[in-house]
Amino acid sequence: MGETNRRLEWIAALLVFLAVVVVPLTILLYQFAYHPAVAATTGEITVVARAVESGGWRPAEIVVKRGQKVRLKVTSADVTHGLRIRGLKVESGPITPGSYQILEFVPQRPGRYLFYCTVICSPEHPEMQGEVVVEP
Amino acid sequence: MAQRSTVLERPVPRPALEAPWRLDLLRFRPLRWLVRQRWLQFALILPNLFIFTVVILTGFLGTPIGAKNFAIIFVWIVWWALLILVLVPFGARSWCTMCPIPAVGEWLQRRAFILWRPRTFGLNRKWPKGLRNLWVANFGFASIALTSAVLTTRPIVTGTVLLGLVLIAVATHLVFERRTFCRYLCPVGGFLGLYSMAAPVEVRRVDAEVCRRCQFKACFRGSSEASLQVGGVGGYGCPNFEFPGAPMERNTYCLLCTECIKACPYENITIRTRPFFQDLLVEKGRKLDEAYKSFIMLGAAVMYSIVMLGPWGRIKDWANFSSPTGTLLYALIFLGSILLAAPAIHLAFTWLSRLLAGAQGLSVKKLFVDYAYALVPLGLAGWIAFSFSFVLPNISYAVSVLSDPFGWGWDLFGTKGYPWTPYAPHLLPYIQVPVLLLGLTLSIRIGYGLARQNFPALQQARRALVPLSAYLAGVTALFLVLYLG
Amino acid sequence: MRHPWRSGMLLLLVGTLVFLGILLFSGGSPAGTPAGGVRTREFTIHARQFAYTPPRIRVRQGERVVLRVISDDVVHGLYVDGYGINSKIFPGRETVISFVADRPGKIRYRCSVICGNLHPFMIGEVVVGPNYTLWGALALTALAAAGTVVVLWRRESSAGDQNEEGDDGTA
Repeated sequence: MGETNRRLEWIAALLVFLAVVVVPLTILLYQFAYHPAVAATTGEITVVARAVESGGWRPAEIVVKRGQKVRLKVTSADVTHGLRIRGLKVESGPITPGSYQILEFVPQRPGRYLFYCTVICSPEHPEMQGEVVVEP
Repeated sequence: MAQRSTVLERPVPRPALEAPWRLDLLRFRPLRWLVRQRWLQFALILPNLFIFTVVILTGFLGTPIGAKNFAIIFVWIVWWALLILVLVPFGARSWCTMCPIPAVGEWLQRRAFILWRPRTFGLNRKWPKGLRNLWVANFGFASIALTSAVLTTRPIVTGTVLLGLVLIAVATHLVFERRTFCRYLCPVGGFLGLYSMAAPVEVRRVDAEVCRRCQFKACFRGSSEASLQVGGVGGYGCPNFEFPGAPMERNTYCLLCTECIKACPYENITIRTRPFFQDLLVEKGRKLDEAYKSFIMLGAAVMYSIVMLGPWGRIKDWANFSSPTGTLLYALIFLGSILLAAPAIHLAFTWLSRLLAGAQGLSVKKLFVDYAYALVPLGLAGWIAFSFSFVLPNISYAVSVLSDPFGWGWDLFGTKGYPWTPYAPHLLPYIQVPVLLLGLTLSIRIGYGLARQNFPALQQARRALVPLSAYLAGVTALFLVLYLG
Repeated sequence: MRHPWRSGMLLLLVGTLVFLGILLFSGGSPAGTPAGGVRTREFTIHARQFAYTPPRIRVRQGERVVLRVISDDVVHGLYVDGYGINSKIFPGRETVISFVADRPGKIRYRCSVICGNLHPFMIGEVVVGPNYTLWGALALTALAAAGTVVVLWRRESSAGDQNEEGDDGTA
């Protein structure tokens, strides 16, 4: 009888451990270790748009290699934005907050390409810029 | 009185059905078996603990966009809707049974997840006598309610507040005895207690004579070696400082944790159904702190209907804490309304009611406190009506958020693309009007019962009812103007 | 003893149903429509975080409402409750929305493009008058209150019953 009781407590402890420790750890490991590793191999870069007053594009500088396919996963964290990369003929439609858009392209010529927001998003919207650096 | 044997019978023979609405639920063998299982409460808490962990994680690490964050949608829309539309009106403090916030602290305090142990650990200090009331919880709730525009729309604020509550609960459990947090500190508990008086279920003793002769009082003290020899399955004394055998006559502080049912050696405590709103007419236990809770809740429902549901941008900016002056103004308006204006209006009508009744000798304070309980049906109706107004348009977010709780671009169940779909928002008046009218009728009915309890003559109570009804009708009209006009 | 109470509640229920029924069927063109068609009312609405300006507009039942909506800051949306209208509102560009206010009462419209933290509470109102919905509801309120009071008064006119109905006292 004491045995079943002890067993009950151990099962309870295990379940709590699973719920409060294991599952969260798994989530964090997936998102911050596994997923970035996979994304790096496929050349996927997540770009988060925020109004300039809240930080602007993150990352603001994107470094890629000539001839290699680039996959940009763009999302917004506050209001509707848009992305255009000048010189690379890459443009998204309006990016509504929380939605993800995929932009794929293969840069042919090395250089620096300006990208900027195409939807009025804040008073400092014209300053919302970043740079794509294509290395040889 | 018939002579009884010296040895009390166990289990107590249950009386036959008293009335159609009153049913002893533990007459059903499966239910009686279930409530005697020590793992019952743990099994109810565990899923909520998991969900709560996800809420904290998404609150801190997930997208700052409220509508795409699990913390915001599943706390302020899904959980809130469940609470105010189902759990409270039908299950009393049934949320408290499965609440994860005190759980960790309680497990540490008991050094057990499930089992009953004769001792609890921790410092077991007594909560200071002057604070053994709802005032801390009232001000806690008012402060949190003040921040609701920011709290319910910014995930990190939700995460911080909920984590803060857990940490306070853990600390309280380690320092003080039993569930001091739940009784005296929890901001949610204050209003859950008040509105749970409306529910059609109750935990009560069965046979008064058995309690009178009982030497153990295990329902309050907890089981002991001696009590276990007679019966019971081992239970802690009521964690919320109630004494079911005394008797406990109201739902206000009962967490439905079933410890008393487990502890009682005579199986003399049961769960019963009953008509709605019964506890509002119980005279024992009425106090000013509970009355104040009533004003705070009703006032908050009105304020939210103006600020959140209304079209006026300026006050929304203030509520959003976008500027220091706006914040200060909003704090004054909000807190002033619920802590000063609402009670003042209530006082005015209480005084008028007494005047019309011609009972100048009666204590205004007692009438003031008693009449506050008449606000409960209308307050609950107001909250239900208000809740529908933001739940119906926005609960569809839950479908997409389930697949992408953090807003990181996941799609766990394939529903991430489910679009925002307001569910029949134009039908809102058809829900709000009947609910408010029902609340009004019941409030007047309770008000009359309260008047009869206070005024010695029938004629006085009749006259007293007139200003009270006008007041209640006025509040209803205010809601209707806000919703329909 | 229960009967006066039950009939009172029944009366209230019937009254509410009648009221709701009237609401449901009060659509369609009212008498007095000017010959040649429906009158049109145009409004310019500015959308900003987190409100529409003007926040409330008043029209008469049967009029066609035309909203010229423009955003003053970011991309918003406009969804009209009950009309299935859902449009995007862009900064600097006017979007025209049109519908006929065929029912009395309040028509709410709300933002449908996430525009910031208070987005779910960005709401505007079109009040269609005469507001029979509100007057009917207020009349029902007065009726419910007065009716309840009268029923409660009547209940104890004969017996000197001390107990509130249903409060049999627990064990």
